[in-house]
Amino acid sequence: MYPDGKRRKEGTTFKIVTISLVLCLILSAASQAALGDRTLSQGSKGAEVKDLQKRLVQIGFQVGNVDGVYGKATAAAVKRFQKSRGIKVDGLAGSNTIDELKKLTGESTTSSGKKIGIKNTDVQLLAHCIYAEGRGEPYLGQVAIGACVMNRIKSSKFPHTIAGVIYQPQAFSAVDDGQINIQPDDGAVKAAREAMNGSDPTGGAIYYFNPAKTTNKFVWARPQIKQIGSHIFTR
Amino acid sequence: MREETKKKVLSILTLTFVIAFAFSLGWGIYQFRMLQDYKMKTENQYKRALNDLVNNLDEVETCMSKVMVANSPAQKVLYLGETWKGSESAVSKMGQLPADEVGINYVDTLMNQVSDFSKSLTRKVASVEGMTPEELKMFNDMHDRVIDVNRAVQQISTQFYAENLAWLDKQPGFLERIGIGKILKTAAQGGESNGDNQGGQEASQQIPTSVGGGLKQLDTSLQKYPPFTYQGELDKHYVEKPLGLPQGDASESKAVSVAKDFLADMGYKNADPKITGLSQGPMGGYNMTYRDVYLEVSKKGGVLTYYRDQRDINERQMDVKKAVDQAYTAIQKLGWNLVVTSTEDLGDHVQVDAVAQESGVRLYPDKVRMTIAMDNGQVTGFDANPYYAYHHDRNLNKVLTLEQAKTKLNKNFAIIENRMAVISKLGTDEALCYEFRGTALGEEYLIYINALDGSEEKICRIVNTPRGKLIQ
Repeated sequence: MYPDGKRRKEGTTFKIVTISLVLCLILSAASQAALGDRTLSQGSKGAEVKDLQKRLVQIGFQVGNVDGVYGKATAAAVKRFQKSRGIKVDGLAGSNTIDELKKLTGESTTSSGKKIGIKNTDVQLLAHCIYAEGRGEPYLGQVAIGACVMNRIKSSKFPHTIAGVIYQPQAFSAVDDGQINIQPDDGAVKAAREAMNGSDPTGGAIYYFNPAKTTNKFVWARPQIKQIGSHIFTR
Repeated sequence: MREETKKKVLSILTLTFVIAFAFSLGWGIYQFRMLQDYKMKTENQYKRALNDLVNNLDEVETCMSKVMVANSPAQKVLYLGETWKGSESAVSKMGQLPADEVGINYVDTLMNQVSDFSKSLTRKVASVEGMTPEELKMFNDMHDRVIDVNRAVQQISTQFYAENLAWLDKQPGFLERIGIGKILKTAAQGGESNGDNQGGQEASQQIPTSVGGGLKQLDTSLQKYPPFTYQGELDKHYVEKPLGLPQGDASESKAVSVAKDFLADMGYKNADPKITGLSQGPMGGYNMTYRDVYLEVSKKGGVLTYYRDQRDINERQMDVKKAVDQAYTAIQKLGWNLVVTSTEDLGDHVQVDAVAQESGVRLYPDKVRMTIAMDNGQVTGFDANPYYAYHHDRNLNKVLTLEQAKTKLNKNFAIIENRMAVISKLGTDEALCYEFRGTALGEEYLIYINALDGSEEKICRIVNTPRGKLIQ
């Protein structure tokens, strides 16, 4: 048997170790708090906010700088996201909002649950093209621009990929003057997704032009299909 | 005293100028070097694309020649496959070369057709059907034309290296560059050369003065040939002859009343749509608007082809299943007979694809796409263009029995459900098939077995994306 003093000493050591362990756990939990552990709101800061911002940007909701600070721009992006998903619009990133965001930014899986990456990554490039070429156009007009790109892929006259069509020299003025690099808004991303999904409000167009700004004989000579917004869509 | 101050000021001024001059000189040299550097990088990319293009074309030309002499399906398939991929790559490389306009379409068209035709032949030859004499003849014709293209591009490439040929003919002047001389081209892609080709004949005789110019001449020289036509062609994006539009032309007042009836069915009371434009082409007709609603009624047949309400959507009140029920209610109200085949959750909307069904056979080409608003279950979108483009009376008599079709499946494939379906193949071709949904190796697939000849017509992989099931 041990003398009394030693046992007491052992007890104290045990307490200290336990307390420090618990402290460590709490601290590490606090520093690595995962997105969704708590409701984030304007004024929140930290890694979770940064994760939130990254995910919002990934699906086209611009937050300004991805800086880990839940500012006005982030709150506005959260509101736009909520509106687009039919969630109550309050600008707070609660569990509903975060779950929906996590779901949409997740990877695709096979039927047995194996992760196989994100499908349709080209949607970002198409959204850039739509935004650069057609910001200010009605939503349907933006889908129509995306549909034109998708129709070109199906046409025998053009390359067979989204990047091939968009970066073909002189194909889109917005590519040649660099506007293609402007971050698209969520409307453009939505339009891009819809066009990639096969929606075509143009009736099979592969060219379009703005009649108020174009003198190019070639496009004026193309058989016209219809006008959507300020663009005339042609075959 | 004053003289000294003057001198002092003067020397300080001189010193400032000298420093400023040295600084700007340094900055200028730095900028110049950077520009040289960027220019070199871009040029290298162009050169790489040109060399790849030359190689691709040569490879395609060689493989096409081998296809025609090969006797075993194994060799034929091998060279057809290389032709297919090689020509696809040539089109991609051509799109990387600098151009002053998008107009080199004929070379693209030829190479895309070679790619497309070889792809369909690969499939035929692999299934031991072989090539028909007509197909062989067309392949031979295509080969001849590819030889021409190959020689022309090689000529350009040789000249490029020998004479340091420019990439483009005339560079825009300084004024044009800064946007004063000429109006910038708008979204209107495309160039003038295709429209006015009166200068074409003499151009083809000239020696090219630039790579772009040479390719343009080649394009002009190809214009005089008739286009190739074959089964399962490309260009499916535009339907020349819609099969499903009813007979007879609709007047304006008829079109407006069709739109009014449709809106009444969709729950708008006393809607008053106004014609705001006309659309052309075989599916064309009257474009109408009413508040946030945009509609199209075809001239031929006078049917509603497109409807979309772009109203603001409020908070979500239902799940996808409820939305599908709403879609069925609307389909019934409109007097259609459709079955919902897929849904996509867009958040504020659910997109529902429904297809026609005839004696138990799903007609996938005859598709109607709807969107349902998740706040009140209203149909906010209805696109019947594919339905009217492809719907027609089909021969739905099968040759194979279900049991016979099942023997064509992979041994590891476990069937979950099966049905009959008409699917679209390359181009406007269709096939009557057995559709099997099932799993194999931990993945879900749709496999289509042709109900006439038993060939494995198509394989689709089903993956779960965050927005619903995606059929690849």
